[in-house]
Amino acid sequence: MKLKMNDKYNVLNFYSVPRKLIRNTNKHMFILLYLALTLFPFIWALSTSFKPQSEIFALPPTYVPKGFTFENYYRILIVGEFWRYALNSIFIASTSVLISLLVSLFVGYATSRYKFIGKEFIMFFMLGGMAIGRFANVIPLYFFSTRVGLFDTYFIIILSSSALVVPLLSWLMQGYFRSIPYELDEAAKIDGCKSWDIFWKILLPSMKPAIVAGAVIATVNAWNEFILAMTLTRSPHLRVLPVAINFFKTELGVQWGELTAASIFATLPIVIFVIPLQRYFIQGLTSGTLGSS
Amino acid sequence: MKERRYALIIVLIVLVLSSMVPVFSGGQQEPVQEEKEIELLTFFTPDGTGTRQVGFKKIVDKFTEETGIKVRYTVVPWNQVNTQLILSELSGNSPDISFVEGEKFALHMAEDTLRPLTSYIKRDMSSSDIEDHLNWNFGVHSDGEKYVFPISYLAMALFIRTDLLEAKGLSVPATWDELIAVAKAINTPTTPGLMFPASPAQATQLNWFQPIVENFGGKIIGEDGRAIFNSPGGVKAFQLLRSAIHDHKITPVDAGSITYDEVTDMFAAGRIGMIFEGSHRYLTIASRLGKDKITLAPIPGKDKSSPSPTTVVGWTLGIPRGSKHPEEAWEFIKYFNRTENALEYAKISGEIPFLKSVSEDKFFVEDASEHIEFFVDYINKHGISIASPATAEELVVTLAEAIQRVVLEPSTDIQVILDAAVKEYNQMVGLD
Repeated sequence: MKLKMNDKYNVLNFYSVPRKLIRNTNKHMFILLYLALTLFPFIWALSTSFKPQSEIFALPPTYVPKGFTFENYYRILIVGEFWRYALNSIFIASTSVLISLLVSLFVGYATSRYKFIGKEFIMFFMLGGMAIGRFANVIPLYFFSTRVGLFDTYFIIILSSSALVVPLLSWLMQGYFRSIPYELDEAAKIDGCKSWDIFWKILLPSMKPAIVAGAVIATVNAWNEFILAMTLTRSPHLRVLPVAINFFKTELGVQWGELTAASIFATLPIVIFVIPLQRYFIQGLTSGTLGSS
Repeated sequence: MKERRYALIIVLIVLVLSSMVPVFSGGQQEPVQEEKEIELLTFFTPDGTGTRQVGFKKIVDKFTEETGIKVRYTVVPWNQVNTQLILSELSGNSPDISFVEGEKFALHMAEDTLRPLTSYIKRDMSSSDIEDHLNWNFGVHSDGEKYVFPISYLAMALFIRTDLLEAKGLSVPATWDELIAVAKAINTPTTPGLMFPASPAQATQLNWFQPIVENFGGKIIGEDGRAIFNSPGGVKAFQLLRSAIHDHKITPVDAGSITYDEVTDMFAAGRIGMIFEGSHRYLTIASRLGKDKITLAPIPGKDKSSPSPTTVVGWTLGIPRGSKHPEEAWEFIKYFNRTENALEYAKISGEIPFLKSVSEDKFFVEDASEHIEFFVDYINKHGISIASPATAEELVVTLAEAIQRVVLEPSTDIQVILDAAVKEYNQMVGLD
């Protein structure tokens, strides 16, 4: 006998309701636990950033600052030069995003739509380069930049952070391009479109989720750039936020108040940028993955 | 046509981005003025508000005023100074003058990053200038050449909470037994009697642990550079740390995962009874805790007559091999070494002076600077050089990991842990 799930007399329904409830409760509990674990350090940093020095290490710890103060924010934004560092980070991140998106779109288009010798090798070679990691790249980049006269310039940070993210974005773009039916290209060709027009007018508008996903990845990558920015620049006027934050770890100890205030200040723009794009980001990643599989 | 238009747009974007480079860079721009200028690699910022930075800036400004030589700061984080100096020297991008960490002196000798200064010294310094230095041999290499001049000295001591001591009517501990007794008396669940950082995450253990090892008759490294802290004396020193946690319960087991900065912060917040701490952090701690709540004492010893020694380190000034203006850089070092300037810097910075004439100045025997008086006296009587081979970084990490294992694995034989650590280090640096 076949039982229907929506049958009110069905014995399965009687058990399935609490089972579903338990499953949902477990799921929500897990999400809540995960949220608590991931958000706690952020909330703690936020709370610390509004505490006076004397309260930061008080025992028992205060979760809501008793001596609520804007002193730490005043020191980094008014006395310090964090606006300048934020502008540097914005400039480097936005330029890096533009460059890496442009390059990776071309790479993705070429490798998904054209057949040429060594295509697979190039793609895996790029991917292999990612496995080396940025720490191993620092010293060669340092010597390269000093030899070609790019040391201590914005250009070297933009170039290096773009170069490090292009392989990942190229794979993402290639996957997404593949998910777009080739018939679209053929129809456009019949209508007289050339490759350039097919790319800009037909395919690119369909690539929105992948472009957003790529932009988010490239922005986060460039925004959080630390080791390259610290090694390849020296001048204070070229400092980016992560490097500037590192200066709060002094030989005389860590300046926790300023450090947490600066960290919150540096995190907010990226949160504001990513949240509205969340939907496209997930769509871009998943569609690309499915397309390439 | 459209293809051309798009190609033109891309070329324009590239051109605009390229044109931004010189506008937004600046690091490569040559100074227009013909005034003399030297580049200083440092972790002091010119607009810094810390006492050391203010003091240093004052000397720099006076130097520029008197000599016409400008000093351009290149600021990197303090723990990056040595790396940046070596990198810039290797790439032919050297600063004219640089801070050099005293503990990394052997590393710079191995990397050949610094110029010998003996010829300048012979030319410009008198024998009385040399004799005025508290420790002239600081910065002298085995080739007999002097390469660096100290800015100040840094020594370790036992920092004790005066108020806790007075509340229990206790006196300052001078021996290990007394230290344990005092720590037990002031120990509470929220305020450990004694705390030390055993986490290798911030490896500074040589500074405070080498004195303890030496007090027990051990050594960190031998004459040939091999690690030898697994000697009977070394084992006793490690045993002291383990027993503080597991036998006497005066130190929480958290010590195994706590860093130097965290210990300082906890002490400054009034949450620890006693710590081993450096002179350079005295003023920072005092500003948070209050001078009246800090008592300084030599690191205890086996008996009252022989306290543990104190490691003497410090930041120094050296001239890199690739310096483009070595004469001007030497002028600055010479200027900083003048008694009146060294005195002014020491007064403002609150650091231990490097000249005898400065340390004997009445300012440092007044109450306001009694911590300087204490440290100068301690250094003079019991100062030792810190173990600083070219592989000091590897040595301190190995030592830190051994300390961590000793305190976190109470059932493992200390000798076994130390033998393994010593073997690992000696093999790592090619001495085994």
